[in-house]
Amino acid sequence: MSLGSGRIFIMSFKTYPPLISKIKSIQRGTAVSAGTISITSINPNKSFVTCFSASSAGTVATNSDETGTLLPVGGSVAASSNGSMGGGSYPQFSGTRSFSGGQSAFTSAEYGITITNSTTLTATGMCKWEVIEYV
Amino acid sequence: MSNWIQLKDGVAFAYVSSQGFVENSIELDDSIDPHSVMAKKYEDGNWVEAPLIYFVEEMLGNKVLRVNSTVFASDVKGDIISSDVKPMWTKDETGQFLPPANIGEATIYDEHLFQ
Repeated sequence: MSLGSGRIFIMSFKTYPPLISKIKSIQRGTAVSAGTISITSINPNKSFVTCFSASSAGTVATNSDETGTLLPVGGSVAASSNGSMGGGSYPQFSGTRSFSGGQSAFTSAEYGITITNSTTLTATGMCKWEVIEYV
Repeated sequence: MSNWIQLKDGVAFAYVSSQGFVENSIELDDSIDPHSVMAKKYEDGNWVEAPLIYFVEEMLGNKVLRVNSTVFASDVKGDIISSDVKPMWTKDETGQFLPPANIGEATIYDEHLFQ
């Protein structure tokens, strides 16, 4: 529309409400073992927990060869005059043996954490976590 | 934000950073990194090294297959042992753990074989 003189009049304007955070609280932590963890009270119905962890479990096989020798030392067998055996001692062995082989049962493992109630988390193992409660 | 340390078997096993109060916890001084006290024992207001507890994790018959260690008494799954006990050690009838023996066995043959 034409305003003739070229001036512009503002008749109305809109205002927008300030940004309001929807997050009520954040708690963070670390657990180095399984167990129950106390936290500041939250509403479990308006909260969620995130966690991350990486670990391992199981066994690995040795990769060494079998080494070592058992050598008989000492011991004796005595025979009596009539040909029967008597006396003597069991043979003794010296040396060492090492073992190897076996089966590996090595796996990666992940541990987690859950919200048990308004003041408790339960960790299944080593993990880092954050509990976020929203409005 | 404050850091709150929680104990398991008297040893720090978790910490919580929170703006609010946390029950069953020890509030840590701001100058102390909570990671630095993890797995440490709380004794008379101080954080000290917790002793390791060695235990047998798996046996095969009377042979030790795997040993492990922990600072948390409730995490011990088998017989508590000294740090000397290793895999392939054996457990005797009295419950004592012994290293592998180097003595062989011999068979005494019947006398008729030597005639």
